[in-house]
Amino acid sequence: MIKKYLVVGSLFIGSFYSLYSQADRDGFFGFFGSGPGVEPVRNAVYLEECGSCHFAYQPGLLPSRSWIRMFSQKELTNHFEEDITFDDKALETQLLDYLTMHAAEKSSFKRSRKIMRSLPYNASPLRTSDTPYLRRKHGEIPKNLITQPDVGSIANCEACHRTATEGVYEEDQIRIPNAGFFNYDDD
Amino acid sequence: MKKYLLIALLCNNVAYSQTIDFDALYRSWGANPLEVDIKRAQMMWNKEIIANKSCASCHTNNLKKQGKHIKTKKIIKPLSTQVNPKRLTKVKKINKWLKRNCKFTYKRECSAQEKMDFIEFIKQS
Ligand code: HEC
Ligand code: HEC
Ligand code: HEC
Repeated sequence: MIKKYLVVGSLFIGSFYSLYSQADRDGFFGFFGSGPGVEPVRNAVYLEECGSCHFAYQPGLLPSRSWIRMFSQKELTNHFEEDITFDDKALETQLLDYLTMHAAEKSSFKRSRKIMRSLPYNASPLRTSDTPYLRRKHGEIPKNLITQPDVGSIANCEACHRTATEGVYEEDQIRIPNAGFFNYDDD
Repeated sequence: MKKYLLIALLCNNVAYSQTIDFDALYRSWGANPLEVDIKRAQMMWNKEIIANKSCASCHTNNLKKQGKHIKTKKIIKPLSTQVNPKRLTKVKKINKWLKRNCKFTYKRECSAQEKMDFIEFIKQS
């Protein structure tokens, strides 16, 4: 008897919690699998494996063909001059599956769709910052604000987008360090 | 019912606090635990065999402090097990990062002796 209540109770709490935590992060949209940003990362394995050297880029920032290219042995042995080959092949497959299943072309989040629309059909960039959409968005930032020690490179999304880990890149959440009076008006 | 729950919980705790048998790990690499040389690791730590690349470039010279990836600027939590008890608790993680970091720093994998020295050095700092 008690067991039954326990099971029902924990199911209830569990589902309430997942509702609550999702609603908390992405608002109303997130719950329905779309929103103004890109789908946030909720995969502990991905965060550990692809988020220890740098910000864990959301899968929805690139099409699956880019992720597949990144996971070729040639690219894995020279991932921006780092060797990130996996001894554990099951882990490698698990990561690539996660990336391709949540890739930009499969997402209904606004930024993923804009990234896809900007991309020639045969282009498979390895850098999220190399997609035409993001190149255009970042085109007017003075170079010295990107190369400064507090940022380093345009790949350091978190340095300027304070809510990047939530998949939110909205303008009102952007703070370029030491930007002074530089004004990033929307075009 | 409750009893089983309690036992399961206890087992869980044991699994988490399990420590690595380091001597066995070193032997599995092919090193002899009796030949540990921490001084050598200490000297290697900030030696730039390739210009501007050493263990210290990302982990700094004070292992109790947080480091920073030289390229991505990402913060790296301290390596010292004294301030960061999560360090050196998973064999897979140790093997993975020693392989990567040696390749990054020296463009080659480290020898069994070097790896053993590094781990003992980290354990001491
Ligand atoms: C050993 C460290 C390391 C690991 C692990 C790692 N990366 Fe990287 N990654 C880098 C470096 C270094 C760069 C270049 C950063 C720069 O230019 O500032 C980079 C860049 C990237 C970029 C391009 C960023 C941009 O848009 O400009 C993507 C995408 C990326 N990594 C994805 C991944 C994925 C996916 C994984 C997991 C499979 C991963 N990385 C694991 C070191 C790593
Ligand atoms: C040097 C600071 C800086 C870095 C680093 C940076 N961004 Fe941006 N980003 C900006 C600025 C400024 C804008 C606003 C451009 C505008 O709308 O005028 C912007 C705009 C965007 C937008 C469009 C937002 C909008 O409201 O139109 C997206 C999406 C975005 N960035 C994603 C990224 C990603 C992904 C990364 C990392 C690969 C990144 N950014 C790295 C400064 C940065
Ligand atoms: C390019 C930056 C960089 C360099 C250089 C570097 N490391 Fe690391 N190291 C990392 C990162 C990133 C991690 C994993 C991040 C984390 O777990 O917080 C790591 C993790 C480790 C770990 C895993 C510890 C654990 O949690 O069990 C060890 C051991 C280690 N490094 C040793 C070394 C040694 C020895 C050298 C020099 C040969 C070195 N590192 C050079 C970036 C670097």
